[in-house]
Order: sequence, then structure tokens, then C-alpha cells
Amino acid sequence: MFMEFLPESGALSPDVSCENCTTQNPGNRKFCSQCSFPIGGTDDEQRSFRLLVSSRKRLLGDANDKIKGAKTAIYILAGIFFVFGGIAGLVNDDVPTLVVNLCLCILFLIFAAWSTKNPFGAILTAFMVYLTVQVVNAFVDPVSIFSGLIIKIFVIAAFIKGIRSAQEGQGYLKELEKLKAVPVDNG
Amino acid sequence: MTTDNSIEVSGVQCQSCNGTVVAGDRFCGHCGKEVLSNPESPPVQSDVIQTLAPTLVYYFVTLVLLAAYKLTDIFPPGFKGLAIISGIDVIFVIAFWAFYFKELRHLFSLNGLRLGLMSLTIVCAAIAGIMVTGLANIIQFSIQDDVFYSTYLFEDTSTPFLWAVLFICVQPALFEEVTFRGFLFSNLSKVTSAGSAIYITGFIFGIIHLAVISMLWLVPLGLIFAFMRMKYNTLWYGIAAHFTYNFVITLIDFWA
Ligand SMILES: [Zn+2]
Repeated sequence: MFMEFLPESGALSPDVSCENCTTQNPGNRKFCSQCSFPIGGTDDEQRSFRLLVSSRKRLLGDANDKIKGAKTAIYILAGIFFVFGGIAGLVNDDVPTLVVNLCLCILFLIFAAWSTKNPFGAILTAFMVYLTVQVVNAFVDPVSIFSGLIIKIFVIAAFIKGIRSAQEGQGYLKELEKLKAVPVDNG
Repeated sequence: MTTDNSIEVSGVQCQSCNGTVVAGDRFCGHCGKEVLSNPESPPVQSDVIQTLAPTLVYYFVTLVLLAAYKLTDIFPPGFKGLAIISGIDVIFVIAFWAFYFKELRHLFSLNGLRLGLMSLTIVCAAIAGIMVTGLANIIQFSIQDDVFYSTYLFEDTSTPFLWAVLFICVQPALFEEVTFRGFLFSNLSKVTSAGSAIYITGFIFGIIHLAVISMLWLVPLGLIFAFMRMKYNTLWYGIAAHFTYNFVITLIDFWA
């Protein structure tokens, strides 16, 4: 358990400013105390830190793209409910179907807006509501399972990718915040 | 906002290399390892869909059951059908409950329950029940028809009021709370913040009742119950509120 370390000599060597996050560190430190940038490390070590940051930024970007895909799917569904409800109400005089579809349209617009603030919660909830609608439709009209099958598969895939990415994105963002690699709005 | 797991002490040793770290350090200046207050619990990264499997399985099995009950005539009509579907649901919930028993046990603790808060909860739930019934009357709408149970289902039993209270008030209050604010909340908390767990459980609680109009009050109720579970770390306020709310609606339905 006992590892040897020289007594702290911060007073003797001048402070070093971290080039990643500008924190002032005692001169004898190998790593920045705030972001773990290897201030006293070799060029290679510093390069691999930057590589880690850029790879996390790329992953976060990919995750955000998939979240956008799920958000698009939510908007498309809101549109489909609107059109479907409109047809039922105006053409077939089916008021209950109109009301249900308009409610669903509004609900999905709420989910789309919510997904900007909380992508994970919004996409997961939208996914469960969407599957609920599918189950209900399947009971009311079993043939409906096969109608628009390609859109259904596209939507479900977009939702699942979105849920995964939203959760992974939270992790990447936390990691980047730790490494002081993102602008953090006041601590 | 990200300082919650860095320690607030001065002149301690790094857990990894024993080098000195000072207060406010997030990383050890000697080895670059993170300074954690609880190194025992590293964040577990596993597939989110896999982690959420219990939530998804519970939700969709229950959904299919309820949809079959509500939209088809697979189940016998009247009290018998209701008893069968409730029985299946109770067995299903108990199976999940047993699986999550240890995780949920603290939510049933009577320690720290406040009598004043409990009374306030019950009074508010009763007022909410009266208001929702009033609102439903104004828009010419039967809550009991929109949701699963209609009090007429109990007319052919020996003691309709007693059975109605058991199936409309006791069973949902206990089992829906154990489900939505119990294991679903617990399961969701593994992959997301308590805040989003409140929203998600609140919404799916509203949705699974398969009642479009009633969602207007079911979702807010679900959000309030979930918020109380998070804030007070107990299911008892939710159970009491849920029971009172359903009881008031049933009482008005029998009485009026
Ligand atoms: Zn730094």
C-alpha cells in the first residue's frame, strides 16, 4: 500500500496553466487537476488526450443525428394522425376517430418539443405510446397490422436507435464535461 | 453541476496512486485518475433496451391483456370477466414485485411517514376526485365507462359496494402504485434521471388505461404520484391518494 512520493513542492516550481481548460496547476503535476489533461506529459500523451476528446465528440455527434431521426419520426407520426383523423372526420363523419387522432397528433407534437429538452424521456414515451396505438389498432382491426408495414418498421427502428443514442449521448456529454471539452453553462 | 462525485476534503490521498490531492481536485495530478467519493460504484454501461426489458415486457403484456378485455369479447361479461382480468393482473404484478422485492422494500417503510402530510394528501385526492367527476358531468362523460370498471358490473354480486371498493379502489391503488411508482420507476431510474422517470411513468400510466378523454386527468395524476414517490421515497402517499381518489369517484357513482 505504501508508494513513495516526493513531498509536495508546489511552492518551488511555478504554476502551469492547463492548455485544455486554463486551470492553474502546481508545476510538479503531471496531470491537470480539473480536466486530467497531461500537462507534464509527452507530446504523444497529450495527443492521445485530444484524440479521446475528438472521438467522444464524434460519438456525441452521431448520437445527436440518431436523436434527430427519432424526432423526425415523431413529427411524421403527428402528421399521419392529423391526416388520418381529418379524413375520418371530414370524409366519413367519424367524430370519435377524429378526436382520438387529433389528441394523438397533439400528444406527438408535445413529445417532439419535449425531445429537445429530454430526448431519452420523450423518445421512449413516444415509442411506448406508438406501440400502444399499434396494439389497439391490431385488436380493433387485425388487418391493419400489415398496412403501412414499411413505415412502421422505419418508425420503430428510428425510435429504438433514438432511445439508445439518447442514453449513450448522456454518457458522452458527461464524459466531455468531465474533460472540460464542452462549454458548460455555469457549474 | 458535475461536482457531485468529487470529494470536498483537503490533503487526502489519491485512491489509485496515493499521491496528494487537494480540495476541489477532480483528477489526481500525479496519475490522472478521477478522484471519486465512492469508487465502489463505477457507472455501469449496458445496453439500454436490455436494461429496460422488464419495463417493456410488463407494459406490453398488460397492454395486450387490457386491450383484449376492453376491445374483444374473449373475457366473459360482467363481474366474472373483471374478476378474471384483475386476477391475472394481480398475479403478474406479484411476480414482478417478488423479482424487485429487495429494491422496493424501503418504499413500504412506515418510518418517516408524516401524519399531517398524509391527511393533506387524502384531502387533496378527495377534492381531485370530486372535481374530476364534476368536470366529467359537465362534458357529459362517464369516467367509469372510459376506464375499465363500471359500477354496474357489480350489480349482480351479493354486496355490490364492497366488491366495487375492492376491485376499483383497493386493487388498483395498491397494484398500480407497486407497478408504476414501484418497479417501473425503479427500472427506469437505472438508465435515466429521476426527473425523466417521473415523466415516463406518468405518461405510460395515463396511456395504459386506454381511455383517451381520461388521459386529461390520468397523466397529471400519474405525474403527481410519481413526484411524491421521488420526493418522499415511499409508496404510501401514492397508495393513499390513489385509493381516496378512486373511492370518492366510486362513492359518487353509487350515491348519485
Ligand atoms: Zn485542465
